[in-house]
Amino acid sequence: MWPNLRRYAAGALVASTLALGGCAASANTNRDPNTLVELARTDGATLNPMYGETVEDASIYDQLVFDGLSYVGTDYLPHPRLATSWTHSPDGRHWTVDLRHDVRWSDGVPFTSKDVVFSYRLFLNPQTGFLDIGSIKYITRVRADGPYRVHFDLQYPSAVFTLNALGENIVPEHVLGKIPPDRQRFSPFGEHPVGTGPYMLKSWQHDSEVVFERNPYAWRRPKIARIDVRIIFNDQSEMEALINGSADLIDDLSSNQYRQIQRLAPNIKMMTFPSLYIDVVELNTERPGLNDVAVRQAMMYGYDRVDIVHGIYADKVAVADDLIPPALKHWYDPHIKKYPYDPAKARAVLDAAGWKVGPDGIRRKGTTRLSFELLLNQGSALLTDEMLSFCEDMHDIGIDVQLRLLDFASMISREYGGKYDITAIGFGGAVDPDMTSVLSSTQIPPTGANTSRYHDAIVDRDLRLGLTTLDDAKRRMYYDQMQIELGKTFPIIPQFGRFAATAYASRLHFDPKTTLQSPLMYYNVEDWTLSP
Amino acid sequence: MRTVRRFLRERSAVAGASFVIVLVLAAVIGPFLDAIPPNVIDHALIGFPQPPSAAHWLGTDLIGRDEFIRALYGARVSLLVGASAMLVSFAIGIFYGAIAGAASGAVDNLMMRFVDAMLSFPTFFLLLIVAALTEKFSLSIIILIIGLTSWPGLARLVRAEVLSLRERDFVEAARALGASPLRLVVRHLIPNALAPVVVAAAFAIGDNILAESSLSFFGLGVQPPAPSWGNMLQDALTPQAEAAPWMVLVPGLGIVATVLAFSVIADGIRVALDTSIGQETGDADVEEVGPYNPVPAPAS
Amino acid sequence: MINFIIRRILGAIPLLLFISVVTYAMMALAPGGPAAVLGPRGQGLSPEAIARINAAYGLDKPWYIQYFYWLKQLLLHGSLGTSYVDNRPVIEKVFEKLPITIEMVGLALLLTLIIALPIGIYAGAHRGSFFDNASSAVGFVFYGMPVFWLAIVLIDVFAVQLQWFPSSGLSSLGQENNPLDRLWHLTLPVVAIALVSFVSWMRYQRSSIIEAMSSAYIRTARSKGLSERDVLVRHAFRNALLPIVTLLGLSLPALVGGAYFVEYVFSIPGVGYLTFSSIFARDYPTLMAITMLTAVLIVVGNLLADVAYAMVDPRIRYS
Repeated sequence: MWPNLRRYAAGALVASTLALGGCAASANTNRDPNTLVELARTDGATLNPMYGETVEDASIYDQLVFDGLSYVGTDYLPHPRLATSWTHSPDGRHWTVDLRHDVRWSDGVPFTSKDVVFSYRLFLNPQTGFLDIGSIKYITRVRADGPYRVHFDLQYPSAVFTLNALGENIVPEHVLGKIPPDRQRFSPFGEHPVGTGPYMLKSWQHDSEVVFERNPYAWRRPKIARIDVRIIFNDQSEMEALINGSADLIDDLSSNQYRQIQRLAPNIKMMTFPSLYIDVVELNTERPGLNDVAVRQAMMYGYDRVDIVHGIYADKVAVADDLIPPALKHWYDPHIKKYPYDPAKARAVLDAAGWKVGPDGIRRKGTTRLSFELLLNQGSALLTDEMLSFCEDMHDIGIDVQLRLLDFASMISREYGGKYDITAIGFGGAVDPDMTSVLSSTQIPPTGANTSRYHDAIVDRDLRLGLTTLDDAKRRMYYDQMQIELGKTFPIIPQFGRFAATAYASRLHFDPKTTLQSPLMYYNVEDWTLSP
Repeated sequence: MRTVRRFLRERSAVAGASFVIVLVLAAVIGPFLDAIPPNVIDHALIGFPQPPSAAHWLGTDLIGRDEFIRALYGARVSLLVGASAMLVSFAIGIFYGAIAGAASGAVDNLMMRFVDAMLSFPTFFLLLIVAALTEKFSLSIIILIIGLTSWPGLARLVRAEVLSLRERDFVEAARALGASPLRLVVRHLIPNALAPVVVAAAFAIGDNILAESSLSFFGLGVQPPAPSWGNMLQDALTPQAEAAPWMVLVPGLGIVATVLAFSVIADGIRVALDTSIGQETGDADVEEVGPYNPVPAPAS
Repeated sequence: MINFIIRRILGAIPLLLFISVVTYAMMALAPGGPAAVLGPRGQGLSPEAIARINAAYGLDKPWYIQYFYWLKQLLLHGSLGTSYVDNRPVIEKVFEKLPITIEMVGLALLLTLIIALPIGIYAGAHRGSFFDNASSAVGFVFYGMPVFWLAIVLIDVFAVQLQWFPSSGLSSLGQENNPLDRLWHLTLPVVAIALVSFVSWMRYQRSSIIEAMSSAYIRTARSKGLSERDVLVRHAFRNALLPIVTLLGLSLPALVGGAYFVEYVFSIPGVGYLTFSSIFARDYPTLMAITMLTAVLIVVGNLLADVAYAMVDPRIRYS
């Protein structure tokens, strides 16, 4: 009697949810012509540009809400944004920046040099804890000269001053001025930002949805009234939403999503970009065994990257042979030495350097055995499989590498503490070839980010000269020399460039020639349009 | 004995036991017979998992490793971890629970509150820390971790058992005869509480296998390239898994089949022990609960 | 009984303190702190920036001092602090995720009971029958499935291949306030949880029925000539359902912490997901809050369960 009833009830419940669920899904085709729906996998922790960047996922939404004095153009060079122009003294240590007159904050208050001076002084104040302080530390003085002009004094001339230092997002003095620097981090500004950018924050449900609306006072007035960013943690659902028409844009597409969309929905437009990031294998050059250049060189020869590129990435990425990505056409030297897979050469190099194969198949010299631990971030089966292939290649040439999976924070703390042998990480992302913070011997942790603990006099010199020269041709020369030296000493083994692509619905229009590297970084977002 | 005969009468239990025996044999002997080592990467097959074929009986995984032989090695890990962790948790849990149950009052209260404390800890965090701090991550560490996080559940069971046993006649009698508390615990309570404990042991092995698979799935258990059913399942989240269901099914069904086998064995033991005592009164001497931990916390 | 309850509540206080101290100490052991996961694009943080962050959050002090401040803040100001990740009040972060997890786990419990109770009662009433053996066997099959594996299989079959249900998330775009859409999204996760856990409830129910049906007063009813059906419905039934209350009490903490893996695989932003991300980001205030919440629920749940148990079994006496 009642068992049957239960079965009927269950059946009815399932049937009705299916029916109504189906209704729910099909209702998505009514699209608002004024709202751009974008999908992302993460929404970032805060919109406060001083604290917004984490190692794993940089918050890019502050690009919608804030402006810097400069911004990066499609040529990877800095162009004025809140600034109209800048000049510098012959020795490069004094800069004068002129500001736009027509800018207002999203609460209507006019933007002036007071805001710029306030911002930089706040960022430079150690009490504030500004995350990107490394990019501006060498500024010794900032002062206003009238409401639309600012002077900067620098400790030394820097080729990346206009790119990095002037690119910092400016914050409003009239909102943040009363808060003491050490309390800035706790202000509600991160949830209620006020900026000069084309959009302002309308609402934010963490891990779910962020809605931006046109800033009524924007000097770069956007054509699209609203941007609705929906957070979907997983690749598959993200893709489905784009395909079934409920979303307009996925930035930062994975190679698998790209392939699937190509196959399933050819009407969706896609763009690929050469990425600024390179996956690398980083070596701790202070460890016994790894401190021998021959060993590092042998690892470079002995690592087959092609079969990974082919098998795991379906040839959508390119093998990288040096640390400057090909995307940076201005700096990348296509004639640098390549390292095709050559295990015989690897073994020869090791033999010549005195590393003899022991009875267990692992090479040794004196008391040192070439046996290392590779730290890897847990959570990605593809990454694990990739590195297993690397371990096997190493084993073939007589080097023992054992994998160790760790959570990210533990891995980073071991890396920066120097307590590791090898790790696999992402590298790059910068538009300038300056790599002082990661390769200069003055930047070995805890001072900086040179986690390979690399010191090479030639590279140090080239880095220093390349940074402090404002002459472009000279810089090229220094960086070319640096690349050659890196290609002999290998503190870091480049594997391949990352995949970078964007997919968007046909109702979204923007000029592809004016877009930057993926993620799109909302470049010229004010010119994007939606057709009805 | 009568008990064994009763066990053998339960068909499902016998099926389960046979499966386990075959698995143990396969896990122990198999690797010696098969020609392919479990961690050999077939470079030609990277990125293209192969379906089951004559060359690879259960197919290959994402980097061309043979699923069948890896599954056998994984069986070894599961059986080893399952049984050893059970011994660890039992060593602690039995005594703890028996003492708490026998002592009663303030001591019992204190001990049980400690158990509650153990159950409240964010175990995943604890595991992550231990995983990060251990220099050389070995199977013993995993066994210890699982054993140390699962004894509270068992202690609770034993205590409940002891609590109901305490009121029984033979205990009254022993007390009346002047038995000391320790003697009471060791000579009377534990042996009589043992019946459900044996059942719980069999269930515990299954639980531990599940626990190890979760740990390894997150990368905090058996480290690649060593195979374990849990870390083989990491491949299930890759995009290629959609077209290669054997990568998901082989390790998964291995786990399901093994835990199922231990569950029916446990149930068979329970029936065997139970029917040898007082079936007429229907007074189930052995709690007919399912898997020993009676708290059906929805799947954490 | 009242004394018992009061003493348990009082006894819970040292327990909660103990849990809070040990959890805090564990954090001191964890390698890397919140500063490790902050920092622009992998360039790492300068030592000044790290020192600033640590000073701002009091992380440069020994852990027992930090703990003392945390406790003081909780007892004197009733505040659980602010998150290290986004500086929002922890209470806000937890309470925006709590309803989601409670809804999902609550529905799963409901489904579990719907499946387990009738089957358990029928199986118990027909002990040894084919139905009894088969239902246990089926239950054990599902029990043996790691829940994250079952989740993946359900997604593969019902979401990807058959496309009957969505593969992740809580709602379709534009349908956030549609409860039916929510139910549609929660179907697979709820089913996954219910399938792996129903066997315990079913078996418990079965054993209660068996015990109840063979006890003395039932024998009396039978000897009076009542039909089997009447015996079952009028007597065994009522008593046998009481232990479920016990189990429900013990399941209270699961409403908060019971679904990490399911939330992870289905991308549902609930408390389990928050726990994971707090652990990975070393967001200690949030982690402490969730741990304490779970602990409180365990205490309350245990108390409810013990009280219910005592009401059922008159042999158990709390003095």
